[in-house]
Amino acid sequence: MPDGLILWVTNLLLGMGIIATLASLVVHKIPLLWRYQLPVKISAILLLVAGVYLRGGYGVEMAWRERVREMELQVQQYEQLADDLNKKLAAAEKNKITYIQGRVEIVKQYIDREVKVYDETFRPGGVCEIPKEFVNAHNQSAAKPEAKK
Amino acid sequence: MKYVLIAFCLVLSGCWTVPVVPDFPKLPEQTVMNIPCPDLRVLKSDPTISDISNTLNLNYHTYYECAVKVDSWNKWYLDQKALYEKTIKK
Repeated sequence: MPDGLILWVTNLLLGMGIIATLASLVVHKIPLLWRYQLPVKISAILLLVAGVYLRGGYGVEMAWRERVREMELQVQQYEQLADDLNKKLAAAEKNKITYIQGRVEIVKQYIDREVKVYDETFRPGGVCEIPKEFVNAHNQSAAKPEAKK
Repeated sequence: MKYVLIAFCLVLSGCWTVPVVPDFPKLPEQTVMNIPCPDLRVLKSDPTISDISNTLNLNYHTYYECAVKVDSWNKWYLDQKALYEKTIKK
């Protein structure tokens, strides 16, 4: 409901409550109405109480809405800044990964150019055979560790 | 009557909580952070020296790529935490 409409309704109710309460103080002096002074007084009090209650509620409602607006603004600002940080992080990550992938390719080319020539020397049964224990040790190191549960 | 009014005025105030909370922070859109680190490569039987070098090269590359992911997770967490505390919990 719009703020203005809520304020208007609560003020109207409070005003009517005040007028009715004041009127109930003099109702016994009016010849035709003095018989109804008790119901009039009760109605006036109820109207006044409802008016005061709603006017107080309006204050709380407005404070609450203001707080919601503040929070929404904060959340919006937070999400924007978080998005900026994410973009920076993604860019830095992409640079590092690209660099690592470039480097692995350079090393691969070096191996193909400089190390491959020793393949014959280190082949099985060759001059310097690579022991199977070396291969086993490497594979054991590279194997995914599976901790016992 | 006046006591009733005073009593009602006293109970007008209440406790309110604001139902506005930010979403859980998202990961960057273009990221490898959420891709699990692969297993390291093992040597085939009777490898040549270049096979060994290539496998080592790829394994080190795998380690460094995985290190980037871990570092990114750490940075993401610390950045988001600092930002949350600065803007929301101030």
